[in-house]
Amino acid sequence: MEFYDIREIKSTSLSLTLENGKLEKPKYEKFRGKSFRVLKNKSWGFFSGMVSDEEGLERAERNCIEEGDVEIDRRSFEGDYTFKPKISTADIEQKVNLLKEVEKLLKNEFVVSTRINYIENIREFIYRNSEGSEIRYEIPRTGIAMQAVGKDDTLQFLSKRIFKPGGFEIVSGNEPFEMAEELSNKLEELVRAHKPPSGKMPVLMDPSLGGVFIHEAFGHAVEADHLIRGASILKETGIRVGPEELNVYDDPLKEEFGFFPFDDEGVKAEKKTVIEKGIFKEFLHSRETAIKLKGKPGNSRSQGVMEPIIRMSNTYIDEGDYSFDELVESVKNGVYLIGTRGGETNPATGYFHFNAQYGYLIINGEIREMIRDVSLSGHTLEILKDIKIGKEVKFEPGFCGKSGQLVPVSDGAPPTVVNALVGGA
Amino acid sequence: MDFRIDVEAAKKYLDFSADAWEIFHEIELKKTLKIEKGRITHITEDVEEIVAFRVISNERVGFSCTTDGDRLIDTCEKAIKISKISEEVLKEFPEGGVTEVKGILSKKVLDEISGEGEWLRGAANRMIEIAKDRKVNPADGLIELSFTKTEIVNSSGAELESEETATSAFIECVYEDGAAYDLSFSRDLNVDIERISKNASHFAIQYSKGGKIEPGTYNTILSPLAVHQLLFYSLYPAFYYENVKKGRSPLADKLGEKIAGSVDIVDDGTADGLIASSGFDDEGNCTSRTVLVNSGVLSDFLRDWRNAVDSGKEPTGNGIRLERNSYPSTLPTNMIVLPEERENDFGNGIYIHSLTGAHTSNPVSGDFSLECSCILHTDEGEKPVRSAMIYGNVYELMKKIAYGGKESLQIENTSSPWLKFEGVDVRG
Repeated sequence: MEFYDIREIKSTSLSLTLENGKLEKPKYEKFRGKSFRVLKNKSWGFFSGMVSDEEGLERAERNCIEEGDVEIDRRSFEGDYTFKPKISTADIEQKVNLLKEVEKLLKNEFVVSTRINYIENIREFIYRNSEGSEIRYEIPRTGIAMQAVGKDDTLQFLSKRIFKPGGFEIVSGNEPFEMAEELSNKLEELVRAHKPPSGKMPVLMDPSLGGVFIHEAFGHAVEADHLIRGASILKETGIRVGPEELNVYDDPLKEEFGFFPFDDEGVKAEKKTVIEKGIFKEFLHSRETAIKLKGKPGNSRSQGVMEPIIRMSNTYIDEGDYSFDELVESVKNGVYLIGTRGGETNPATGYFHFNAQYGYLIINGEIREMIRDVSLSGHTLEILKDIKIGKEVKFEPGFCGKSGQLVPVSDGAPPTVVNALVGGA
Repeated sequence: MDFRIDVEAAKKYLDFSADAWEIFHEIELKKTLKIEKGRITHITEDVEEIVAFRVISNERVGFSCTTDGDRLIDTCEKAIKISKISEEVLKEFPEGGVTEVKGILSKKVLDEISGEGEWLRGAANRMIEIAKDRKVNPADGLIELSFTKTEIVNSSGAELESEETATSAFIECVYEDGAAYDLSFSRDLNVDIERISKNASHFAIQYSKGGKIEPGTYNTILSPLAVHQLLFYSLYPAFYYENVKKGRSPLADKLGEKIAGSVDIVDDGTADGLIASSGFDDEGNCTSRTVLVNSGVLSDFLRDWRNAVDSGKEPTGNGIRLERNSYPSTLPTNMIVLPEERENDFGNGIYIHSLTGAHTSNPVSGDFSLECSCILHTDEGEKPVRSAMIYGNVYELMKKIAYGGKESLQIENTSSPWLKFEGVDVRG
């Protein structure tokens, strides 16, 4: 064989769900898995299962079925890293009490249902390969997701979440309480909110929506595996995609939900410049695509012990110069959209679509009535051309799905304005 | 294939340590062939075995699971510990039972999984060839075979075991700046390679030529794939009794009322050979055939074990684990959509092959606005449309069902023909 690598993942997790004030479906999980990857005849073979290294490599080698053309970046690393949480021990009762206190703030006369989910996970990653790499790291991740359903003119829901690398300190401050209060207040407005306008118009996006926007509208097209397959609207770097003030990065070393010190191919993580001064600078790469396209590896990730594929980490639009008031003024007549229910893109065609949780009409440069169920769509190569960028980047955590695998990511942005197709029910 | 983890010691431990217990034990072997840019690239093979425990102590339920056979007793202890803070109330687990379901285990699939991949390579090459014949790039594709063995035992006396196989195929084709994909599912090796490769090629070419559409109201035909994408996220959750009970279902007070046009919707975990059929659900209850919508009238909801106990009704066999490591909760089995049938000619209107962003629909209100590529059929002929957005409310949409095709396809857990809806709002 020309190359092999062996990964072992050990993780423990706790999930506590408070449904309408009652602790339901508490769950503890201990996962252990191994995976083996072999390069032979310039073709990959892969096996995952709890077997000895010898058996795993042999079964992976059997799956190298074709003569291929795979070359790989063979850089090698050693490292042992533990992300130390500030609070590593908290009683389970303390966690349940926190959820119950937060839930009190979620309720109001319009709220018919609440759900709060506490999740903690510790992931230990062990990697070695035929080039001599030896890596081990451990990362705890902790967070709370909350959702409330309200009923008046319509049945509506809102959700918010905090997830970051770290221990109980991530959720033990004021943030969950402030989120619950805000969510409850907004839901009271949302159940009586108007239907949105439709058509192409200027859209002011809050940071959480702006983050998902850059992830969906541009980020997926930057994953080099799409380009290798001939299925990316982005064919080359060096092209202008936005104005001079637009800078976009993917940074796995930022201590947000998508943090990792080494990727799942054992490559040391580093910040990637996706767009600099409006010019598309680099694709995100695996060991394989990095060689083919003369890029840097380090963005291969996997769910559990599944096969690593190219993924984003913490992807964000860097801050610009516009104040929030200037952005509102620049919209004049359009919409201000807040929060996200996720999105989807097709990197081959460049068309993307995502939903806000709610928004407001902007009329004559003033923020006015609330609107509900608003979606946005557009095209990767068009959407960034006239972007206006505000100040203060904020990150929103989430799980990104690709090829049947979910990985933790975060998306960030300051408030931004784009022209997009807005729609709603 | 046999289990590798022995759960006997865990049973004995739980007999002494918990008032009631359940062990869900599953092993899956999966073999996947991958295609990139018109070439077979490689095969991946995954074996995953998991043991999940639910325990009841003082009528409170705790749950834990592990893939580590050396940590079974530790994991049992964690389930018991966690039950002490739980407020989920259950007195016992079901005695369980098995419904006879045919066509869910295929020897051919088993042989192929343990073999050299001859059928896999033949099917993949055929899929590639069909696309290449149409001058289209089969950019991404896979064919996946799986075998699953499941065992459920509990302190109420259930001792159940099942073996199932499944095959799925996916292809995405790219032509210039148009792209389209399609999928096929089967319990045997008869996934419809020809259909999906032809469809993905055809729609990729069409969309590359796509123009604009005038905003307005159109008769709209959803393909079986688009039916699944829309209904899975915006409609199905409203049928779960748990959502009804917790105020999250707009159908909560609609039993006996007309909620749709002339259509039946049936949850059927017993249908022979379908992809979500099984003799028992993931809690050991018999699967069943539950008519949810009868000629447009809402007639029932879906119940797992706990929600059956809460509602005082029989479980419908819908206690499903979304993932192998998930706590069982109410989820659908095969959702069979049966409209008024017409000949396979849907007339004029826009035909939507697939939707983008269906998971962003509002599961609580049923509102949706989704991006799609589509083909406008008029008396003058076909006109491809590059980008359009359909929008509305799924409950209003269901009232607009006019009729459907004769041939049903299974996409994930939805079995449906194409459906024609009258007067759907579309924006260009």
